[in-house]
Amino acid sequence: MKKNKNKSQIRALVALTRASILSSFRNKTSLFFNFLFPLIFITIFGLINLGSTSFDIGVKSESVKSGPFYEAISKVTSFNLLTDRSDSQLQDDLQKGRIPAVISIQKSETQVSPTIKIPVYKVDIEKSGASPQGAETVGLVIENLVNKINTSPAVVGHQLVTTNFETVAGKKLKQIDFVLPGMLAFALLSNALIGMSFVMVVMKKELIIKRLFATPVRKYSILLSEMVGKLLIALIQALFIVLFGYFVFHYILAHGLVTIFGLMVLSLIGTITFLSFGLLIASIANNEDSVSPLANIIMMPQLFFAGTFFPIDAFPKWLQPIAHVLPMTFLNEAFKKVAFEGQALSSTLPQIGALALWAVVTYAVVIFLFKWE
Amino acid sequence: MKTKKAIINVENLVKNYGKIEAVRGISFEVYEGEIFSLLGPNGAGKTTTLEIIETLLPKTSGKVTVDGLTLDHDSFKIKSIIGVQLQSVGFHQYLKLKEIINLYAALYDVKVNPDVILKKVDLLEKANSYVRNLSGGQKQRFSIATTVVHSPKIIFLDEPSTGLDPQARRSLWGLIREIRDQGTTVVLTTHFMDEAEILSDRVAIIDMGKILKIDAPDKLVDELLDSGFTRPKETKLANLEDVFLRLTGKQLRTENEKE
Repeated sequence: MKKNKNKSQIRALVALTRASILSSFRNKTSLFFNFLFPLIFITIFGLINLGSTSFDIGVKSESVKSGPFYEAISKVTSFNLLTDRSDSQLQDDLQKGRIPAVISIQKSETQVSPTIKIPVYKVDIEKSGASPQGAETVGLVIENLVNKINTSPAVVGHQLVTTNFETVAGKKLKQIDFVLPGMLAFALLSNALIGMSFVMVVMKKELIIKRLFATPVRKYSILLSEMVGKLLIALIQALFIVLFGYFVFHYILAHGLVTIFGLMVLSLIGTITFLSFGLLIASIANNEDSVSPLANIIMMPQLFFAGTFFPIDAFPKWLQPIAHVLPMTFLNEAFKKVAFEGQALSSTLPQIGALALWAVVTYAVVIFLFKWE
Repeated sequence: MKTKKAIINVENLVKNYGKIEAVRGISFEVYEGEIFSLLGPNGAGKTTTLEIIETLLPKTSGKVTVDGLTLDHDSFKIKSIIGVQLQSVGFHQYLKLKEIINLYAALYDVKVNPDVILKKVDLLEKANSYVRNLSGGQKQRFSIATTVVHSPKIIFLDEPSTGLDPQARRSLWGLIREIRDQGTTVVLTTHFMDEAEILSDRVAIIDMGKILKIDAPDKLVDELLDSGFTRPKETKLANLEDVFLRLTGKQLRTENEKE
């Protein structure tokens, strides 16, 4: 008897989930926000390359931080010398394209005549293959500097600074590799947030839920079916967006299918968290008209401050701590770690944990606030 | 009628919304296989009474049993033997009629052919339409279709004909009688005298949360006449509605009857 009851609840759950998915695909607004909108953004960012105007240059720890070359490079306003990082950290930054180049400066002496020794500076430049455009620019600027020093009247005839360029093997990364994770996270957020809150508010207002309550279906099956429906849509969205990026703009997937799997798992976790915000809005909003402003209050800051378009470091100091704890920031970071840095899913545990914490807190509030009518 | 078995028992039902007493201790029985109407003005407590029996609203006090099941203990079992039409109910706006029927079949855990159900309510040709594309009368008929997918013992209709034109009302009444004739008990609310009189086997007149009288419409009228009542003005044997239906509805009704 009990078994049959469970079976009928599962049948009800499946039927309601199917209804939820069908509705999502037949709703033009939700199709636009779930699929077309992210594609438009990805296409825009796939086609343009935003050049950075300032470059971080790593300086290896054993470098001599004096002499004409060091003085000259310090004066280049578009260069920001990083002197406080360890060599291994710099190497890592270089490989991942976080910085375009690392330099090391060694000083030696050369005998120009039996009595005169002059200092010679040897500059080794390692350029990042992961940030080819930045590395190119930085290389040109450095060569220019060295030429100026070597041709200055005081040293004519003697090469004072020698350079040695070396490109560190790294993946070639493009604008799309930075933007796509953010767009994916945003698409998931809007599906979960707008989709969930609109559906619940409309079902309550139109008495669809009340009518369902008159059938032998459990209340939570109704909620669960909408959540499962949105999660399936999220998976389709994620696969669609990642494959579009991969085939059209050669979006990087560090380990192919394994990476896609990792992105799917993260998409599900992110969507579970985002759904809690959708339910929160459904708990507060009385009608469809109040859904949009509430959804925008939650969505817009995350679109701009979660590091999708601009690095969080570029924001004012007071804003950065807030930007760093937004749920979409965590998902964005996790996506980048997996797709772009090629790390294992387990390395995103801090981000997953943070998303889970957001989920626990928000669902707790939802349980407290949610009303069925 | 008295030989019939009661399928719904309501005893001393009370419902208070805060200080407002919506239902003030009403008692009645509904017999198996009849059309039972709660007739009363808006705000009389009809919908509240209905929704309590439908398990949608908690009662303040009183006892309700539906087909031997008590509301307090077996509300889930009650849900599976009743069909409910709400006043101004909505349906999934992106699902087709057929899909909604299938959805309700799954919720009631029964197997049905949606075409058969839709044919019953004369909406077979609309099987692939959306609810928003139906007329008012079609919407009500569809709403009734969702109440009968699981062949319930009782259906509840809350003001089923409100907002419908005369033809649509007649066609709806025909459908409700058909459902009754197939053995389903029908409980409905209305504020239309004609609906109560023409359609119901028995009527409960309800006002201010209290039942004033329950009986067959004919008997209520006879009783009133027996008490010496006469209308201040003699009415004609036909009224404007008859004229209207004669001029506009005849053809439509015969078409419906053919089905």
